[in-house]
Amino acid sequence: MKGKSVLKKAATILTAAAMATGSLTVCGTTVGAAPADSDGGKILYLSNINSGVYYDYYKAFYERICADLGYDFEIIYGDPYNDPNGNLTAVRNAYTDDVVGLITTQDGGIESIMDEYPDMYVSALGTDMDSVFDEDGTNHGALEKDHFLAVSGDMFTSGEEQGQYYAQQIIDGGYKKVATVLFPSYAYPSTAIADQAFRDAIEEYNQTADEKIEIVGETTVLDFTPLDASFFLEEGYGDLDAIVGLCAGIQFIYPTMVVAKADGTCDQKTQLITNGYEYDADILADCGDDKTIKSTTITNPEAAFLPIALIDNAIQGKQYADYPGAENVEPGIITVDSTSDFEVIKEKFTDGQTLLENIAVSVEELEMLLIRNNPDATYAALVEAASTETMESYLE
Amino acid sequence: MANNENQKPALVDWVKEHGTDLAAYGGLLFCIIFFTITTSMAGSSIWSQAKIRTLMSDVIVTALMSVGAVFIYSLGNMDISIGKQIGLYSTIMVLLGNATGSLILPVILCLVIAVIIGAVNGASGEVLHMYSVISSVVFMMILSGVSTIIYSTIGTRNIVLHTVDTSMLKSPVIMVAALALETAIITYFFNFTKYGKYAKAIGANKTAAEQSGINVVKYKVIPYIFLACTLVVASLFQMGYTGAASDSTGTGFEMNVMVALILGGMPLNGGMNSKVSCAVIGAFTFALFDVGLPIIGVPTKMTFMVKACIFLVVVLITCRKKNGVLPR
Amino acid sequence: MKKGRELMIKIAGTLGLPAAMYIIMMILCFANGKTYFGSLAMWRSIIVNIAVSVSCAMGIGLQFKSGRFDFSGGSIMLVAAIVAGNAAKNHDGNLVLFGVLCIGVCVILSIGVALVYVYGRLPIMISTIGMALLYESITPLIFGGGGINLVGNMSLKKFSVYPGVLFPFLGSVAVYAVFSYLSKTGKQSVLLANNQGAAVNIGINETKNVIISYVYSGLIFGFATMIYASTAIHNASYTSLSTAGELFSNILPVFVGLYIGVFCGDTIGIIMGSISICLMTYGLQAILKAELGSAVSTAMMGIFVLLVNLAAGQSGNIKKIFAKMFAVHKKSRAA
Repeated sequence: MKGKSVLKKAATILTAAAMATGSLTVCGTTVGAAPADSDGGKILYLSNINSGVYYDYYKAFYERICADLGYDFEIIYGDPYNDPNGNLTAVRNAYTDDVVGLITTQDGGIESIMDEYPDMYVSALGTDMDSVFDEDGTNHGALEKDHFLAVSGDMFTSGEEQGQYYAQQIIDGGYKKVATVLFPSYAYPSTAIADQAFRDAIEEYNQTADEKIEIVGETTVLDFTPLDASFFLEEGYGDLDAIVGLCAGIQFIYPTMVVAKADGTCDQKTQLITNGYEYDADILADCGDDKTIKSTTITNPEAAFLPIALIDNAIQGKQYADYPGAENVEPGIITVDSTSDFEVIKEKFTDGQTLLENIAVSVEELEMLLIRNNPDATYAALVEAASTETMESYLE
Repeated sequence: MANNENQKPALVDWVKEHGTDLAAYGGLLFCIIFFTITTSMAGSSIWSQAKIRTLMSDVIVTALMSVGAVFIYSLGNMDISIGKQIGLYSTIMVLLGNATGSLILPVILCLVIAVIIGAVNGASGEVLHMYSVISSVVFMMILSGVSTIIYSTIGTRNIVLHTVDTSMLKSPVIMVAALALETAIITYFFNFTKYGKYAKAIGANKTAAEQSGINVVKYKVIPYIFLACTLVVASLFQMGYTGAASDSTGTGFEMNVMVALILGGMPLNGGMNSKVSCAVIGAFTFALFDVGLPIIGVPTKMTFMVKACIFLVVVLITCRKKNGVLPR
Repeated sequence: MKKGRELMIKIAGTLGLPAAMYIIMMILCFANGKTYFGSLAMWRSIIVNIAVSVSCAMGIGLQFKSGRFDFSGGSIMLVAAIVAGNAAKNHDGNLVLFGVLCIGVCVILSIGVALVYVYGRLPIMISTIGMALLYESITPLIFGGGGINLVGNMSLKKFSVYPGVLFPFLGSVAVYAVFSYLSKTGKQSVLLANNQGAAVNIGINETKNVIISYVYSGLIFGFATMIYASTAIHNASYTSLSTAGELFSNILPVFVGLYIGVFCGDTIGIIMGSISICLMTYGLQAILKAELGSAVSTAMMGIFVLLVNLAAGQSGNIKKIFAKMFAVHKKSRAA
C-alpha cells in the first residue's frame, strides 16, 4: 500500500513537472522571435530541410530581415515526402491569428493551404512549384489567387536550359565517356527534360566533333536512395570520365563513388558534376580540378530575399509598379568548378551566420529594395539584386 | 456517520476498479484544462473556431482508424498495414473518382479490397500457423510496392480529385458526426454482441476461448472486417480534406493508432479490459498536444520531447502492472 | 550412416534457401545481361548490406526470442550514430572513439529501455514505444538537429566498407552466439520465454536477466551502428516513431532465420536469412529500373517472407505429405 502511494505521488510529481516544463516554455522564446515591439505579425517558413548550411543561413537571414521589418518569424517543418495533407497539417498546427505570410519550400497541398487561410500571403523559395505552374498541376488553382506571390525557383526553371548547361560543362571539360543519373521524373519532371536536352546537345556536338562524346546507356534513376554499387559493375560504367548527377549528387552519388574507387570498381579518373552543397571538410577536400567532385551548382543565397520582399510589399499594401504577377524567377546559378573556387566557397559558406555576413549583396542593400524603404523601387531591380549572382559575385 | 463509513469503501473500491479508466480520462482532462488556461494566456484560445477545426481535422483520421483497431488489439493482435491501406484507398478514391465523377464506386471497391485484406490478415495466423503480424507486414510491403508503381506509372507524386466536391468532408460537424456514429456502431458490436465478447475472450485466453466452443478463425476474421470498414471511412476523410493523395499518404499511421490506443489505456495484449473509449481518448489527447503546444510557444523541436515525456507519464499511470512477473 | 544422413539434412536445410535464392537470382540476372552477379565485386558490395541486416536482426531477434517485441532499436541506433559520429568528427575522425561511442551509447540507451521496462513494469511494447519516442525526440536537440553525415568521411567509413565491415559483423555474431549458447542469461531467457511464471518460481531473477539481455542487445546494436552510421546520411527524427520501421524491415531475417534455425541454430539461421534477403534485393534491383526496382523488390520481399513463414508453419503437413508419398512409393515398389 505504501509502495502504491509512493508511486502515485511520484507519478503526480512527474505529471506536474511535465506541466511545469510546458508552462515554462510559454515564457521561452520561439525560433526567431522578433523584438518586443514587433507588431507586424508572423511569417512562417515551411522548410523541407532541417539542417545544413543553407538551412542555418535561411534561418539567420529571415530572422534578421523579419526583426528589421517588425515581424515574428517561425520555422515549421513540412512533410518529409511533400504529402499535401502533411504540409497542410504542419501549417495548420503552427497557424495563429497573427500569421500574415508563408514562405514555402514545398508545393504539396499549397492550394489547400491557401483555401484554408485565404488572407495569408504565400511565396516560395527553392522550388519550381511545378504543380502550380503546370496547367494540369494538382495545385494550379493557387495561381488564380492574388495572395500567391512569386517563386524563387530551384536552380534552372527550364529543363532544357539545365540540360544544355551541363552538356556545355562536359564539352568544355573534354570528357569523352559519360553517364547521367537523376531523380524520378514523377518527383522532378524538369530533370527528365534536362536529361533529354543534355543528350540532344551532346548529339549535336558529336555531329561536328573530331572526338565524339559517348553517353553510356540510359539514364539511371535514383528512387531517393543512394546510387547502388552495382552501377559501376555494369558494362561500360567502370571507366567513365564523368557522371552527370541531375540530382543531389553529393548526397546520393558521391558516397558510392568513393567506395567504388576504393574497391577498384570505379576508375580513379571518374569525376562527378552535380548540384548541391555540403559543408563537410572531407567532402570539400575532394572537390575541385582533378578531384572526385569536379563541379557543383548551387543557388545564390540572396534569392531568399525575393519571397520576403514580395510578402512585405503586399502586407504594406504597396506592390512594385512593374510587378507582373506570380512567376517562377530563376535564381542566380553559382557553379563551383575549380579548387580555388571551392576554397572561396569553403571560407564563405562555412555556416549560416558566416554566409549571412558574406553574401554578395548585403542585407542593407536588399532592404532598400522594399517599397516601404524606397517607394521608387522596382521589381526588375529586386530580381536583378536577388537572383543574378554567380560565382563571380563571390570572388569579388 | 455510519452511512459515510459505508460510502467511503464503496467509492474507494470503485476508484480502484476503474483506476486505469480514470487515469486515461484524467490525462485527457488534464490536457483540456492545461491547454485551455495556457493557450488563453498566450493570446489564442485552443477552443477558437479555427483551432477546433484544426483539432478535429488532426484527430479525425487517427480516431476513426483507432476505433476500428480496438477490435484487433482486443484480440492481442496488431495490424502494421494500416498506413499503407489508407494510402492505397485514398489513391483509388482519387483515381476512380476522377474517372467516374463520383465516390460511390471507389468507396465500394475500397471496401471490397479492405475486407479481403482484413480477412486474410485475420485468418492467416490461425490457418497458416504463423505469427499473426506476419501477414500484415507482408501486406504493408506489397501495398508499398503497389503504391510506388501506381505513382511512377502516373508520373507524378500527388494526385488531386477534380470531379467531386469534398468540402463537406472538411466540416467539423460532419467529422464529429461521423466519429460519433462510427464509435456508436463499433461500441454496440464490441460491447453488446458476441463479436466483441468473443474477440475479448480470444485476446484474454485463446485456448480457453477455443475450448469453450468459439470458432477462433471466424471470430478473428470478423474484427478485421470491422477494421476494414473503418479504414475506408478514415481514408475518405484523409483524402477528402485536401482532395488529394500522394505516394506517401498514410506513412506511419499504424504507429499513430498504436500510440493513440496506448495513451487511451488500451491493453496491447487485448483481453477483457479492452474498451472503445481508449481510441477516442488517446487520439484526442495526442491531437491536443499537436495543436496546443505551438500555441503556447513550444518550439517545434521541443514538442517531440514534451509529447514523449507526457506519453511515458501517462502510461506509467495507466499501464503499470503492480506485481507478479514482468508484463509481456 | 544415420548420423551422416542427419548431417546432410542439416546442411541442406541450412544452405538450401540462400543457395536457391542465389541460383534463381543468377539465372534472372544473367538473362538480363547483368553478368556481374556472383562476382567478387558483387560480394564485396553486398557484404555491407548483409552485415547491417545481420547485426540489426540479431539485436532485434535477441529480444524477440525472449518474447519481447522491441520498437526502440532504430531510435537507439540513430541517437548513437549522431552522438558517436559527431564526436568522432570533432576529434579528427578518431575511429576508435567512434567505435567505443557507438557501443557505449547503444548499451546505455538499451539499459534505459530495460530499466523502464523492469521498474516501470510496463508491457514491453509500451515501454519500447515510449522510449523510442523519447530517444527520437532527443535527435533534433543534439548537435544542432543536423543528424549525421559520414558518407564522405573515409576514416570513419572504414567499418562500412570491405574488409573493415567484417569487424562489426563478426562482433555482433559473436555477441549473439555468446548470449545464446554460452551465457547463463541466454539460457535463463529461454526458460523465461517458455514459461515465465515457472522460471521465476525456480529462482531466476527476471529483472537481472532482462537488464543483462538488454546489455547484450545494446552491444549488438552498437556494432550495427558502426556500419549503419556511415552508409547514408541520417537526419534527426522530426516525425514520431519514424524509426519504428527499422523493426519491421529488420525483423524479416529473424523470422526466416528462426525457421532455418531448426537445422543449424538461430545464429546461423539469421545469417542465412539475411543473405537470402540481401541476394534477392540486390538481384531484383539490378534487373529492374529504379522506381520499379525498389517497388517490386519490396513487394517480392513481402511475398518471400510469406512463403517462408507458410512453409515453416505448414512444415508438419508438408512432412506428412512427403511421408505419404514415400510410403506409397515404397508399397508400389514392394508390389
